[in-house]
Amino acid sequence: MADGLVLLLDAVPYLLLGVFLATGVAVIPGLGGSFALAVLLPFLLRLDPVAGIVTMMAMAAVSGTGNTITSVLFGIPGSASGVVSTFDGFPMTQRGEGVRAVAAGLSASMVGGLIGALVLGVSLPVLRPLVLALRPPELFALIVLSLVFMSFVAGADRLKALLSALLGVMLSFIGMEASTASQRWTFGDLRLWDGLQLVPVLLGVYAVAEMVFLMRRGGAIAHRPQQQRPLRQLLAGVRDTAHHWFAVLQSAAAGLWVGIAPGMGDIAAQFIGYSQVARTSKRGHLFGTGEVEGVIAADAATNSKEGGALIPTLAFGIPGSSGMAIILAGLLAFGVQPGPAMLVEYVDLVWLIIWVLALANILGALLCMGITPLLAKVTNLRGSLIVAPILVLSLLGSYSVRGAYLDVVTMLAFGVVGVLLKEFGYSRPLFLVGFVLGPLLERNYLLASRLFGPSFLLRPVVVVLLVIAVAAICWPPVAARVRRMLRARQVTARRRSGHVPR
Amino acid sequence: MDEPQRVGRHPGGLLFACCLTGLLLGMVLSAAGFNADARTVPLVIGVPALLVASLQTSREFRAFSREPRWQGHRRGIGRIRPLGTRVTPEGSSITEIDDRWPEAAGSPASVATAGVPSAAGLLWVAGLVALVGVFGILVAAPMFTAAYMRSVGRERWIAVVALSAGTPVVLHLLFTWLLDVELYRGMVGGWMPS
Repeated sequence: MADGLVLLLDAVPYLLLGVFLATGVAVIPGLGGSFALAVLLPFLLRLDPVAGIVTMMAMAAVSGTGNTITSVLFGIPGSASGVVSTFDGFPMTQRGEGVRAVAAGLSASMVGGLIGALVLGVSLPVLRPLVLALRPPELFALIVLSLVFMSFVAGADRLKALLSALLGVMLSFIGMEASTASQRWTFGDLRLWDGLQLVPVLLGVYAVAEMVFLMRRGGAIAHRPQQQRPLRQLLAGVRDTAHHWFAVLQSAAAGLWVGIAPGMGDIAAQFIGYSQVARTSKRGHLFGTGEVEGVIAADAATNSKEGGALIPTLAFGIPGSSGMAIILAGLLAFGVQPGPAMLVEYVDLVWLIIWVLALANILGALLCMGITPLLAKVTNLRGSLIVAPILVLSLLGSYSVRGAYLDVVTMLAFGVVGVLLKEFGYSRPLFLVGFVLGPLLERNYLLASRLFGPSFLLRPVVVVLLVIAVAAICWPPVAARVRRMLRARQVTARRRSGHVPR
Repeated sequence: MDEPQRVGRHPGGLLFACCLTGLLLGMVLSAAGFNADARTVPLVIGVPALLVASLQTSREFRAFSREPRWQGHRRGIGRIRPLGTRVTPEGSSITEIDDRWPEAAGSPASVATAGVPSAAGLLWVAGLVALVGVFGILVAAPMFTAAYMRSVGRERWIAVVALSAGTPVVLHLLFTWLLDVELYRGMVGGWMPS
């Protein structure tokens, strides 16, 4: 532990560099922190290994932090992991409490990141059986259960939420099927072989749709001027996080567990953390209308997930997320082989990574809080001043994925989809969740059926998870019917006893 | 979070549900023609999705035939106010008139700042995409910015020129110089450096 700290003290400037770079890029819609990591990795490889690893880990640690700002202030997630922050954060901005919401989200994600780093530090040696127990059948069942559970917190209309998620899953299958190279709905177009890219879909459904609604509304993003001075709102947001400490712990724990399951995705971590708190909070029924506790619940899971995702990445060489896949590539390029041997041969490096994770979270949160008041003023500007720049940035974000004009057209197409989904009461977040989890669902299903045959559905953990998913779908209508029957009996009984007039 | 804007009052909801059902039906039918591995999961997901979509369509149809006709948007002075039904957390429907939109600080209180319909908004975005396709990002961005700010926002020329002229500079510095991302040059090729 001390060796890791000594290594870090020599590399503090690189830690700061990583935090600045990731935060600066993450506040641009569509360019999440992972984008900065992917683009800058070739340059980082020219640095000294310790400096390069520190910079890389600092960028990964705060890749979700800057997302909070665009998600909350503009309703446009910087990447998929910022979607859930929009649920309560954006309504708060519209009420003139954007700075408070961002401060609450940033401090929650900072605490979540610290919890993730702490758990990483103590659990690496002991979590091996758990990670190895999560095999393709269990991951498939977990994804199915996650989709079903998420449908229950997406809004009042569960059928529309479920349909939104299933639609997203179906559209994610467009492209070439990996194992057989079969073309699915590509219509012979080579450019669709890789399928629809996540960033253009995300920007279309959120950025374009929100700007269209802003154009329709006129006025500014915030419906009211900022309710308090920025500094007061910042302090209020931090106090909110301290006040809702239990929500922070719950959400961080949920994000951690999701991060440990390889490939579950950032959005799943946020959603599950959010839904967990929504179910247990006294004000859970108000989530989605601008509850600060909802913002805290969403963001605490974001950075704690990174700590969880590092467990399979470092301990077993299995990337826990797309960002971790880039980290894995970077570590291999620096000559470090993640896996069980890393815990023995590179212990000081492991502790260095843990320290970087902890410190980068703190610095990233402080940096973002510093720039938030300035960015919050943008929400009070006239829509005509910000629509064009945001659309241009979103277009650039879409184009920069792979330099293809098709992605810009995809963004436009999904802008139409996003407008229609919101207009008719469907769930854009669930649509995106389905789109992200669809390929993982398919991959795990095919692996499971190849490794275990159809009997993979009879594995104990799979049975339990699928039964819970089916029960979660069937129970509400059954419960509603039972309640109606009981109420009807009560009314009948009261009428017979003369207490209720006909 | 996304809130339901209308519940079965507008034919648009029914039409959209029908379109979703049609899309999913097409996908399921075509998936049946893929080879074994390629069709398995699309069918496993697609068939339940089709059932859910059909259920939703029938709900929309029942609600549409039962509820009073949707009255449309009401236009207030300088603002468009939506008229719709909001579903409360308890599940009951209430009709609300949303008048929570005060004038943003500093915005001119005139009809000129009233919004544009969604379809027109999407046409603006489509126009931007088309401009980029023809002229490239560095040329299209200032053109779009100027056109939008002037025709919709009725902004003063100084603001229009400043923002339009600044846009390609910022884009070039940020993307080309700092992030080394080559910008799309469009069919015409672009005469500005990428």
